Amino acid sequence: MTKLVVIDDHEALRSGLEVLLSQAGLDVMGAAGNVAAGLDLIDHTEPDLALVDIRLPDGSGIELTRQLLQRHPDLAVVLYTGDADAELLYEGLDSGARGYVLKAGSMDELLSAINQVADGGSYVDPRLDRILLSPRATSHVPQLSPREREIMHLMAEGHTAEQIGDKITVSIETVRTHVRNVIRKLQARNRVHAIAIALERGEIQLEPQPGDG
Amino acid sequence: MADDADARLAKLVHDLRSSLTVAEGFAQLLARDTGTLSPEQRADFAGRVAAAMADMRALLDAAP
Repeated sequence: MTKLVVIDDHEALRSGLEVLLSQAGLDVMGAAGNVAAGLDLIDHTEPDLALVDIRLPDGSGIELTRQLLQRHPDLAVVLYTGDADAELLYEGLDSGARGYVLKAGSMDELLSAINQVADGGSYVDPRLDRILLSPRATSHVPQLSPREREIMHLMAEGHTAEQIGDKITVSIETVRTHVRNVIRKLQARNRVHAIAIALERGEIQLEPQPGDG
Repeated sequence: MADDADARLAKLVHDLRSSLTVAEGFAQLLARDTGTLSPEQRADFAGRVAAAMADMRALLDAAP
């Protein structure tokens, strides 16, 4: 069972998420309403995953993510925000967060994101595709090979390295090697950042989700 | 001036979304219940839906 904590300053939402996520089968170990309490909570509970609001009263959830990952490198962080802002998205992905979920989405979407990230995958809210797909002047970056594009496409859809290995019949190590090469080629900080850059450059494309505007 | 108005609107939207998430989440829990929730849980969850709705009404009433 995934052990997680919730860090959000909106009291009713924080307390509601504790109950709703527990009802969905997750082990909610605690909740905090600001950066300082969040750091303290995670140091003491050592969860698998932290759901972190970006706008906190005593600082940014993105800065909190950086601090958390320095202290707990294995922690999975899902940023949970009301802002569909491009700069914030890139900064969030740069911080090492493995998930980026908009509060505009439903509870089911949040649960799906948490489960994908807890399973070792990554997640970026499909409402942000428009931002990620906008062209960027990075033509000097080397192009991906067809195999690398195939793997990044599957990863963007939320598959884990193991699932991708099964799907394209290669070992998990081969998948990881391709992903490492992609991260290097795209000068990305991590897998999620690499997916973001690959989408933005049009190297991979996602099918529109039902209900997308 | 415009920045202030934009910031107030952004905060209003953020707070409304937070309350909406709570209301929707608990309403779905109640709607999908197949008899596993206790009467106390049902009352608690229905109360959270009502409280979130009241929060949204208060936010809209206070909006310019």
